[in-house]
Amino acid sequence: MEVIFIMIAISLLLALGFLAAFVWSMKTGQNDDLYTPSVRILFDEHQAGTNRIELDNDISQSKSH
Amino acid sequence: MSEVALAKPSPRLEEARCYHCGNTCDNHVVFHDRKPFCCEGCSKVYQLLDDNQLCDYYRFDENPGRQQLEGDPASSEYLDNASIVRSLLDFSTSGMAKVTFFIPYMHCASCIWLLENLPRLHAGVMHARVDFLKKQVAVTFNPTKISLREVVQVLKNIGYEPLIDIGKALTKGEKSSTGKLLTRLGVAGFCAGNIMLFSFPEYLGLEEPMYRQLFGYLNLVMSIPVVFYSAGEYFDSVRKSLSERKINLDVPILLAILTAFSRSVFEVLTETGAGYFDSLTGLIFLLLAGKWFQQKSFDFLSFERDVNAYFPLSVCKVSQDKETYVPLDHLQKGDKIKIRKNEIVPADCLLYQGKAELDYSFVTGEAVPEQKLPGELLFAGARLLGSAIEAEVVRVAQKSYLTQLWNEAKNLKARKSGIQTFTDAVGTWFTPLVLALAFGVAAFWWPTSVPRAINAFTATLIIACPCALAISYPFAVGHAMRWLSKVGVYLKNADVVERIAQSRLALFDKTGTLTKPGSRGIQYYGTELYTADLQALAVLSQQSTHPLSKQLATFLKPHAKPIKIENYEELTGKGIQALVNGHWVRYGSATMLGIAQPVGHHPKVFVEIDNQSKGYFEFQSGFRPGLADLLEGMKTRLQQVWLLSGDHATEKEALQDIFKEWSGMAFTQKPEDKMQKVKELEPFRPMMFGDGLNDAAALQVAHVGVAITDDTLTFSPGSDVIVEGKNLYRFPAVLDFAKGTMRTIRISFAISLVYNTIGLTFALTGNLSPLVAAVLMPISSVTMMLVSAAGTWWYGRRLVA
Repeated sequence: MEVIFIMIAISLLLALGFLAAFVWSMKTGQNDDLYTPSVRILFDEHQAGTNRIELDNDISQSKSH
Repeated sequence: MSEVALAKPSPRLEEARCYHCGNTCDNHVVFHDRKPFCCEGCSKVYQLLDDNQLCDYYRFDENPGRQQLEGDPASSEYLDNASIVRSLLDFSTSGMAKVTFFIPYMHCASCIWLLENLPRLHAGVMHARVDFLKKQVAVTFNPTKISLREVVQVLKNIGYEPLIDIGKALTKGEKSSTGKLLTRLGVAGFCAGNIMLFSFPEYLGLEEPMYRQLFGYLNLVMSIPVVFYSAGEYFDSVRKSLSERKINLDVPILLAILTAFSRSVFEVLTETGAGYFDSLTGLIFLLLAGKWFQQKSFDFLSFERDVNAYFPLSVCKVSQDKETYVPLDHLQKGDKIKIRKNEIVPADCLLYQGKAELDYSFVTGEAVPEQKLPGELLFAGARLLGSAIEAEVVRVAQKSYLTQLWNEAKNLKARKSGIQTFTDAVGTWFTPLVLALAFGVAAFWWPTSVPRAINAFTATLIIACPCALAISYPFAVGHAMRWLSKVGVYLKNADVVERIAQSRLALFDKTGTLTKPGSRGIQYYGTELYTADLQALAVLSQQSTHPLSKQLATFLKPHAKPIKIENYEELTGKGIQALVNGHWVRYGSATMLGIAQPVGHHPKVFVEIDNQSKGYFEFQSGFRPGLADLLEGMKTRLQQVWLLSGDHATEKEALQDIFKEWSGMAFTQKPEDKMQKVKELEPFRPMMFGDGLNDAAALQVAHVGVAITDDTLTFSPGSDVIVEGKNLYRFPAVLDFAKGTMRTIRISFAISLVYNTIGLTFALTGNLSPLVAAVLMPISSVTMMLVSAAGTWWYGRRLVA
């Protein structure tokens, strides 16, 4: 039953780890804007180096469907 | 016949919609790339986006563009000035600079997409990131490749012009207090959760002393950050309140917290018990949750803009024929400045070159523009309508008449004693009551058993905590704020709900508040007039100084031609008659021309040519729709409704037509007159409705200041509430809702007293076990939250109906 001491210790460490993560997220400003990222994920990523004209043709082709 | 289409045009059946902005194209369609646009401006933006392969812009939302209106754009030359640039940038190093702009037009996904793709429009822009709720974009750019001015120009070109003002530059240093609260809340939550976990053995009857001690000490250690860090605000609040010899609601709360903490620490250290750490930290967590819930802010509005935000960022200074742009605060008495069309007069100054036509409506509320000649004093805040002028500064902006007034109002507001809020009132009598009860109980048990007496004393202090009220109040007003924002009524902070419910008198400004700016129009009804007739009327109306004539003159300006007039006669207050090119032209009131008075309260000017009645011009006053019901509704609920207008009394009758029971009407009120009047009526807790600078001081001083805007981002200083003009008619419902919210709070408080009583029966007998406390506390808190949510929902449904 003495193993419970170890378990308590570990659970505390875990909880403190989460608390530290929370405080870190607050400090680095991750909670400042919770809305825009939800819109941002819907945008397509244009890969760097792709020929822009080609990409545009693809888009206009898909638009004409 | 006549060149001006005076009758209303009939609507066309198929109208093309602009591909860019979605407005109907009317007669004037511009085609490009086989797509219709309503104007060259929209077409140009499309071309710009197309050239840069940014046409996905049109994919994310319907017609996301903004109509590019013609008009003199404000000059951005001032952005070349180094010190202004420095004050606007967030930071800058060699090769990289960052600036945050407020972009009012941002409203959809397309906007976000386009703005974040700004780097594709110019190589000098490195990165752009949008915060949609705040309507801000943070642009990182390379200052060697693109200047700040050019960045602004790019934004303008795509239709997303940033709103730059001094106020914004000054408030950049604001830190978010919500962040701090959230961190405290997080710490409290983590610790409370773990403490609850470690308290379970105690509830379930643990008896082994070693584990009891272990859990006891663990709980003690974990509760320290909660009491001293998370609840830190309560210490500050109580210190402040006691130093002012007042007792607010935080006093009994802190008393309960400290009593619970000390007793728990004592119990653990002396191994006589487990303490109440779980209830204590749980309580602190819920209290902070309430505070956080209450803190909603509408970042896209600014309640804090003051007079400075209204003035331009820089002024054109003239010295020895050279024009330079200097920041506003560098302006000194004696400087000569040049003011261009559509610019704001930046300081009290003496006109020395040019004839000034000034629009003072924003300052005095007077709708008719004023003409000033060289040698006359111009007050800061007016907008120049005519051609450019030059003037010499007499008083700089900070010392100008407007700023003085504004500062006076702010000082008055600071010194105001303020009506006690409901929670403060409760706190005032609650604390002595609880202390009396606690000491009474201790005295009762003392002879029997001292430990029991102390037990009962501390237990009473712990359980008789008005925490339920401290939880129901912020949740209720937080909900209220959210409900109100659904109908376009935005509150500065949650406490305003109570102030609205307390008010017993309403004051309305006229221009811009009861009237909708820009909706004044002149409509002609009758037989069509010949061109010659219109020319005659144009010339005649220019001769008179009567306000209606002047408006008619502006309306008919396109027709003005120098024509000979003979036998000109003006019958003051009635009309004009003259012989023009052989025709006998008369215009004026119905009585003058012997016509029967028609129905309706809009001013009408009748036209008679060669003794034949032709028709009339109706001057639409531009009153907002639903005004009669609004005023009626306010009067029923508040008993007093006043009018304070800066304008002349020309529309007094129209106003009395709409609403007969004005408690008082005052015209030609200058800004300080308005402020004075509001001060006088302070015992009635006045709610002032106004807009613009001329009401700013009055809004500050009122118990509730409501700013009306039609363009949500205009200047609304000193207000507690911002409401869009189109939602003004809802105010009677808003009053009902505010009262309903307060009723909900009072009901929840009554319910919480029930819980307190139950808890007290345990505490008074010295039987308050941690389990009982741990059960009662969450139940009462959750009940409070449910009641406040249900109550506001009940009243809120009626509000949005």
